Formats: sequence, C-alpha cells, structure tokens
Amino acid sequence: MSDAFPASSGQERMWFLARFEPDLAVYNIGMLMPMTARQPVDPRRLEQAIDLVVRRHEALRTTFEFRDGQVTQIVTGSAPPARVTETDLTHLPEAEREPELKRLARADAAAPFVLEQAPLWRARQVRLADDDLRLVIVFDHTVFDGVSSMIFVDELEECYDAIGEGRAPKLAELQIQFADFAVWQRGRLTGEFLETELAHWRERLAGIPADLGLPGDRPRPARRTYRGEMRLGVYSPELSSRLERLAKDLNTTLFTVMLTAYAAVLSRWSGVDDIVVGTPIAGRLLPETEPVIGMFVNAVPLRVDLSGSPSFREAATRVRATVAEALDHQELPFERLVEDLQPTRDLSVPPIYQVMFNLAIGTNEGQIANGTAKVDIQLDLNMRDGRLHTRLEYAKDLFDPETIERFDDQLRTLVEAAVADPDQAVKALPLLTSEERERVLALGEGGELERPESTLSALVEAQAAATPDAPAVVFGDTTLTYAELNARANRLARWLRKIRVERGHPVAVCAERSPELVVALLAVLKAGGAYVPLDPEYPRHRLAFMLADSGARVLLTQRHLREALPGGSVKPVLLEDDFDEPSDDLDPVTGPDDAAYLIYTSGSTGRPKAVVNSHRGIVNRLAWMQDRFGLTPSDVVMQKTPTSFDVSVWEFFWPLVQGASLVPVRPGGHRDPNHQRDLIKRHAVTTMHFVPSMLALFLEEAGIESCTSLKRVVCSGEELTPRMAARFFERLPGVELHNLYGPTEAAVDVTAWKCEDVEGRGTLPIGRPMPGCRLHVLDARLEPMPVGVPGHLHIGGVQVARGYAGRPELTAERFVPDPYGPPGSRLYATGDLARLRPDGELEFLGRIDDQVKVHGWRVEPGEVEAVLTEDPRVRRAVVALRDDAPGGRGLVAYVDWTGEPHELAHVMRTTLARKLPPPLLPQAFVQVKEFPLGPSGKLDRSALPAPTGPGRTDLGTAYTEPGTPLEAELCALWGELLGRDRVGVDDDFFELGGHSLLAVLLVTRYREVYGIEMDLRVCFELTTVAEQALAVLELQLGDAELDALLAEDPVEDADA
Amino acid sequence: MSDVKVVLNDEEQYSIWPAGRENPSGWRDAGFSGTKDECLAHIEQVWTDMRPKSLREAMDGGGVL
Repeated sequence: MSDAFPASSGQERMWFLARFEPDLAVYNIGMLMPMTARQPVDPRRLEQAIDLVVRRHEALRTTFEFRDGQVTQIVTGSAPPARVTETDLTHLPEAEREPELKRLARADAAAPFVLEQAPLWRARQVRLADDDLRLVIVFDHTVFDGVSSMIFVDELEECYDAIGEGRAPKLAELQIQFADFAVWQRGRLTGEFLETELAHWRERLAGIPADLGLPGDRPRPARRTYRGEMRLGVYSPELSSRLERLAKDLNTTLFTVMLTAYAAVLSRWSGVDDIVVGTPIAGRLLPETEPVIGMFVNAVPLRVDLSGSPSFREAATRVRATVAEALDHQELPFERLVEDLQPTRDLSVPPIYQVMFNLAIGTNEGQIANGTAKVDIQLDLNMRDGRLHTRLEYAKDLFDPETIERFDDQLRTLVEAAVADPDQAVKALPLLTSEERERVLALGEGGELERPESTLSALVEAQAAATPDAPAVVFGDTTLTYAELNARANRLARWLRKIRVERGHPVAVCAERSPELVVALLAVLKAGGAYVPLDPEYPRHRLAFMLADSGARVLLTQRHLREALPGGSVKPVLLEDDFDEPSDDLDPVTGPDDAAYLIYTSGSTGRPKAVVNSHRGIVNRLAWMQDRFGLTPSDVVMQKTPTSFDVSVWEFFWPLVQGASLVPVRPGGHRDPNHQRDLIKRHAVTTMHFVPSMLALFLEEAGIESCTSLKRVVCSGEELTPRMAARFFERLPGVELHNLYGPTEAAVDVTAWKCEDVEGRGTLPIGRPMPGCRLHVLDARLEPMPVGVPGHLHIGGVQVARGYAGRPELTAERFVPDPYGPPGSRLYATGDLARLRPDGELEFLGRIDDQVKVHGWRVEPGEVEAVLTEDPRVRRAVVALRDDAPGGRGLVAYVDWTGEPHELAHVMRTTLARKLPPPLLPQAFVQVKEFPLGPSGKLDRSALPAPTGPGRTDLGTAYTEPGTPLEAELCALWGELLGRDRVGVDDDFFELGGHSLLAVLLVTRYREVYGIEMDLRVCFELTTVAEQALAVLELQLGDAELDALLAEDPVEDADA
Repeated sequence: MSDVKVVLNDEEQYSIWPAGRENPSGWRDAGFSGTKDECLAHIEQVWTDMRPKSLREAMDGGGVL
C-alpha cells in the first residue's frame, strides 16, 4: 500500500543530480552515534527503537519515481521492520577498533542510495566491546536534513528508553508529514508570491561574480567531481567567549560575527569585496513542520558587501542587515533561484555561491565525512561546551589539505584581531601571525652575492683585453673580433665625446641589427652616455616623440634609415662613417650607479615613458645569468630581440662580457622561425631567447630537431604555458628551457625557473628572486599576502630601475618606500598579480589593471583608446583584449563612431598604423552605439559583443568571390587561420584580423600546402587573397613560366 | 581624502606614503600632505633633478641622467 505525491523542488533537484552523478553520495547525511549514556546498549532494543521512529515519519519510508513527466515521492504505508546491519569488532586488537569503526562509517556514508529503492537510509550497529555498541546511520538528503537529525536522535533515545521501561514513547502526534508540506509548498510558490520573491532575489543578486575565484592549488576541472575532505578545529574557551561578548557588544549574533570574519578572509583570498555566501535555512516556518523528519531545509545566498573600507564593526552591521533581509525572503527554494538566474548551468562552478557558512543550533558532533563537498569551501560552526568548533569542508578539485589548514589558521588570526579591536578596518585585520609574516617575507629574498663594482663597458673592455682575437660579433660573412669591436667602439666613443656627449647624456640609437648596432651601443656607454634604443620599425610619429622626450641630442643611425627618421635639433651620426680617432680604451667616466640605458614602455595616458636603468642593475642581472648558465667562450648567443625590448640588453652584453660570440639575426628575422633555424645551424648557436608566442611558432617549424648545437632557451615577456613547455621538450629534447620574469623597470628579469616536470601543471612558476633582488606579494597597505593568495607583486633590490626619465610624478607613484629593505630603499610596484606557492616559487597571474599583453607586448588599452578618440568622429572607444578576436587572442576596438559605418575599420586602422607600433593595432573594429554597463555604472567589459561572426560589417570591403581554384583554396586557408567563415579575394589579411604571428603561420601553411618558400615580407606587402594567389603561383612556377603564362599570346609576339 | 604625505630618502628620491603611518626606515617627511593626486602634483613641482643625490654630486654639475 503506497501513496504518490509530487516531489518538492529541492527533492527534484537532488533526484536530477542523482541521475547525472549516480556514483556520488554528496547528499548523504551520515551520523555516528556514541550512545554513551545508554551503554551497554541492547542491540535488539536499538533496532526496535529505529523501527518505531521509521513508522512515525513517512519520509523514512519514501522513495522516488519518475511518473508522467514528474518526479514523484512514493510513501509506503507498511514498511518491513527496520533492518540494522550488525558488525562485531571485538575480535580486533583494541587499538584497531576505533579506526575500523571510522572506516566503516565513512564507507557507509560514501555509498550512494538508489532513489527508487527503499529504504533511503541504512543503519549499522558496531560492537567495539561487550559494553560499547555504536550506531552508524546514514540518510539520503532527499528525505532528511540537519533539523531531522536532531529530531531523529531525540526520538530514537526516547523510544529506546520507553521500550526498556515497557511504556509507550512520549512523543507528540505529528500533525503533518513531509509530503503534505511538499504539496502545500507547491501551491504557495505560484503567482504573485513567486514573482515577488523572484524579483527580490533577481535585484539582490544582480551582477554577482559568476565565480568568486578562490585561489586554489589547481584550476577548476571542466566538470566538478564533488570530491571533498574536511578539517576540524576548535577555538580556545577564551576566544570563544570573547567572540560571544563581541557579538553582544555589536548587538548581533555569533552567526553574524563569524560570517563577517569568514567573508573577510574570503575577500582577501579572492580579491573581491562582493562575496556571496550560501547558508542553510531550516525551512520550517510552519509550526507543524517542526517535529517532522524530511527535507525542509533551504539555502539562501547572503551577499556580503565589504566595499569601501568598513571597520569590522561596520561590516558586521552590514552583514546583520543582509541576514535579516535574506530571512524575510527565505521561502523561495534555492533551485528555483538557480533556474531563474543561471538556467544554463556551468558544470564546473557551483551556481550562485561557491562557499557556504552555517552555525548549527544543536550539535554537529558525530557527522560523518564521506569524502564529498557540495561547494568550494563550507564552514560549519558549532558552539558546545563553551568552545567554538569549526568544520571546514572543501573541494579536493581545488584545494590541498595544507591550503585549507592555512585558511583555517588565517580565519582564526583574523578573528583574534577583530575581537581585540573591532574598530579596525576589515582590510587591515591581519591574516598572518607575526612568525608566518616573517617567514613569507623571507621567501621573497633572493639573497646577496658579491658582484663586481663595474660597468658594462668596463667589463667588455676587460674581456677584449683577455681574448682580443676571439670572435665577438658574427653577422653573415662578417666577423668582428673582440679587439676589432672594442677598437671601433673606442673610435666612435671618442667622436661622440668630441661632439659633446658627456657622462649622463642620453644618446639615441636607431639601427637595424648589424655589427654597427653593437658598436654603437658599446660606444655610447664608453663615452659615458646612456643609450636610448629606437626601433626602426616603429612609426615615425612615435620615434619623433621618443627622440624629443628622451632629450637625446645625438642620434646614431644608418644611412638608409636617415631619411625616414625625424630631424629636428638632434645631431645624426651615421654608423657607416669612418671615425678617425685613436682606438685604445678611453678613460672611464662612469660608475656603477650611472644610467646605462633608457627603454620606453607603454603608458596608460597614451604617452610612453622611458625607464632609466643603471649599470649596477644590469651588471647584477648578467652576473646571475653567468652563475646560472656558465657561458663559455665557445658559446654562441643569438641576438634577435629588437633593441626596444630590454631582453636585447642581455643578448648583447652577456656574451660580450664572457668572451662568447654574438650572432645577430638579419633585419626582420626576429619574426622568421625559418631563418632562425638556419642561423642556429649555420653558426652553432647555443643560447637564445623567445617570447612564448614566437616560441610556439618556432616549435612548429620543420627541421628544428637538427638544431643540435642549442643548449638552452630562455623565455620571458609573457606567460609560458605548460603545454608549450611540453611541446618544447618533445621537439627539442635535451635542450634546457627557462622561464624568466621581470619588467623593464627592474633590469630585464628578476626571477627564473628551470622548466622541469611540466606535465600536469596548471601553470608554470616564474621561479624565485635572483640574488640582489627581493620580490614581495603585497596588499594595498604593502603588507605581505599569505602563501597561495594573489596580491600585487613588488620588486626591491639592486636591479630596481632609477625611475621614469623626466616623470617625477609617475616615478613617485610606482617606486614606493620599501618597508622591508635597507633604509631608504624603494620597491617597484609592478602592477602584476602574483602569488607565492607553498614551495617558495612565484606564480604570475596577469596584470592588475587593464594593461594587457598581446603577443608578448605590454599594451595599455588606454593608450590605443587615447589615439582612437583623437578622431572627432569617435564619441567613445574601448579597447579590450579578447580570446575571440579574429585571428585569435588579441585586441578588439569598440567604437561609438559617427562617421560612415563602412569607413570605421579602414580609417581607424590607417590612423593607428601611423601612430602606434604594430602590436598595438586592434585585430577588429566593432561599431557600438551603447556600451554595456555593470550595476555600479562602470563599463562591463565582459558584456561587450563578440567581434567575430558571419557578418562583414566591420570590414571596409565588399565580398568578392574567388575567380580561380587557387584563390578559392587561399580563401579557405585564410578563413581557417583567421577564424572567418567567408573570405573574399579582395579582403585584406590585416583587416581580417591578421597579425605578424599569423603571417608567419600563413607562410608555414603555404610551405606545407604548396611547397613554396614565401618571404615573410611579401605577406606584409601583398595583403589581399588576389595578390597573394599571384605570388603563390609565381613561386610555384618560377618567374619565366609565369611571364609566359601571363603574356596574352606569346607565339604571335615571337613571330612579330 | 587627505591621507597621503610626500616623503623622501637620503638620495632625495621622492615618493608617497600613508599620512597616518610611520615612515619606513630611511624616509623622512617632505612637509607636504594631501590627496594622492595633490601629493604627486607637488612632487612633479619639487623633484626637478631625478638623479640620486650621490650621483648628482659625483657628476659635479654635468650630465642630465
């Protein structure tokens, strides 16, 4: 005999989850009952007592079925007598009995129930001794909840006693059963009431982050496993009672105080001050429901606002209001909220909230952990015997036990501080004890090593004296020995001094890679100046700015570049000229603290800034490199980085101070993996640098396994991924790969990590600080962040640059007093987000502000936006880095454009190309009338539309069909490469989102498909499908044949 | 928000620091406080030679960097 009722919405959700994940026991509730007061327990009486409780509560006799498209609860009137499994552990040695009990309990709690099969609970009595019988009982959450467990324990004990005393149990008659409630709830959650509640929560939860983003030990798996673990703790009686007193002082509850503290720690860990915490609500608003076993519990999201700088007291007041408001709207079942707010479920992230909090009213003692976790972190508290007991359940997908141990410790440290001074700002409450703080700071020390008190030029001179005949620079067929290089640089340096270049003068150098370039850089240093590299590939507009801004009065350049360069008052010196000066070393005028070079970096105001680095900094950096790699005179270092990028500084000077040789790639060759491969083989290159994006291209180049001379590859400039490192070792086994990190503002690099065991890692560390450097991950108050928690990376030590030339305001802002270094020292605030791993290695996590890296270039979208808005037809422009840009991850410009719609892309691209270097050019232009705003009124970048799509509205050209099979093939190939579904023959490669890296890929594809070797430069000159189809044909056929083919009627012509 | 002050070290390099907090060792007050922007604007005015003091003295009137 059984009755059918519709399931409650909570039951429905669990039923569906059980269908999806039948092997999971996430929603099991297990209890281990010690029965201490009733020992020795009579097993038969216990079984009968359980039976009595089961007969009282329909929920314990309920199963589920899917009937007529609806999840239905089936209540059985006459269940068979309750069965209890019996286990006797008395045969085991005494010490093994408790552990075995725990194991059994955990196994019982971890076994899933099949919701169609009764009963949805299981019980086991375990005998540990003749006078010690314990009960393990596990329920499925669909029929049970936290309050049910208290009811169950009370009733079981009463029934057990009553049976013993031969009387009827004194238990009140139940007015309703759970199914009655489910039916009633269904009726209530309709119409206006439902709409009002939904409306409240929609408004309350508008704009919540999709994921709190707690920093885990691993990235989230695509599908969460619900595997979990728990950690128990207990606060001292003193702290516990001070907490209760604080709650009283703040006119609130322990719940509110602890939730405030919990949210404070979560906020520091996530870097977010808008924290949504779920909390279970008993859901028994109707008095009749109070004594009934069943799943009444609901969950409500508590949105804790820690924005601004509230004191703990203020924060607790906010939390109190939040809790009160949530309680007023507690009836809407959580799953209805999820359906309404996040109907498309992301299987990797718990919906709405990723953390939970609960303060159990009764005891939570005896709960059995079954190896699952419902959310990322759940904190359950329970005050008993005057002590606050903590239980942290956490997702093993994300966290290691040590990490949760730190969370636990930090919560307690913060609670202690809040209790001591509730008027302190929440953000200022410490997470670390003073010992832990010292330990964390010490992890950031690179240590000190003896370094030469010298300059780059003096070190090269010493090397030239030691190995005058060794090759210093090898370029094509030209070789400069150390003696020759030094002599040429001396002659030029003397000339520079003659034209009034003195110590502490900036001297611009604009030359293509060549021996002359190396001579020029060295000569500037010898003369006492600091060199200012100008990349000949930069637009004239930008070069003119840099030339004027740097204050350089002399420009060293090459004849063929002279014309293209801005003139003005600067005195040009042509490097091809012969300088008739003595060639012995000059008297040195500079010391280690003199400026060695000025390198420009992107600025948020649209104005690049020049970083001044000292000899001491770069000498320390080179000394580290020598310690680490031990370059010998037989080593060959490739020089391919443009001078405008500070990596070039070590490429030039490290080999030159160690007697190794330097091999510059030809102009443009830094983008050409094919050329690089040939150069490695030709000159037996042992050492080279790659920006990871370029490394990716190099690794796909054919024949690189024949680069057997290569010993080490150094990467920096953007994130090196584990996948790329794995590919590296696949293609270049036996070659070392090193991941370095450092901004221009700190002598090239300040950390390094040797890539090893890269498989299975989420990210690769950037390593530890180099000697002489200190790296600290700090909060806004310059206090150290805990291990594992992201913060603002600051750099201290000898490699920190002097500042931005002529920019005191900016320098003072970014180079701040260093509380952890020698007196008077400064820290450079990198603007990078990083965290310290438990093993002391640093992990880079991206830029803090909007500044982004595109293909290894540091780009401030604000700079591009500034140039865009110079055009009067642009009302507003937003530049965003997107993964879905045509052509792959890159910049997309969103423009409110009042000009002709079809002109936008063309006009803007042409304008920007004149003013910005190629990496700053957006890959797509999207016309926007209104920019999406978040709840705070700020631009909501995540809501900007995707730039790709079938439309061609952002293109300036109309679609033209391919006319030949080759054109059709090229259209398809381009479409594939650029992520476009329709490419026409007149479409421009760069207008379609092509960029220099994609051009390299295009050349590779042509090689694979057509067996031709197209020069990379051709891709930049011939930019439409039609033009390139012709070029492909030309290369396939050879010039003569093509001429013949194109001639209208060759035979007749010949005759004529 | 008048909660920042201008500070400088022995090399006469300028920076800013929270007004209510003790200076890190080797830094002294420059005698100006205000909002962050005001402090930075002040620094723009007074920090005219950005070379460290010791280097400036060593160069004895020459050089700019």
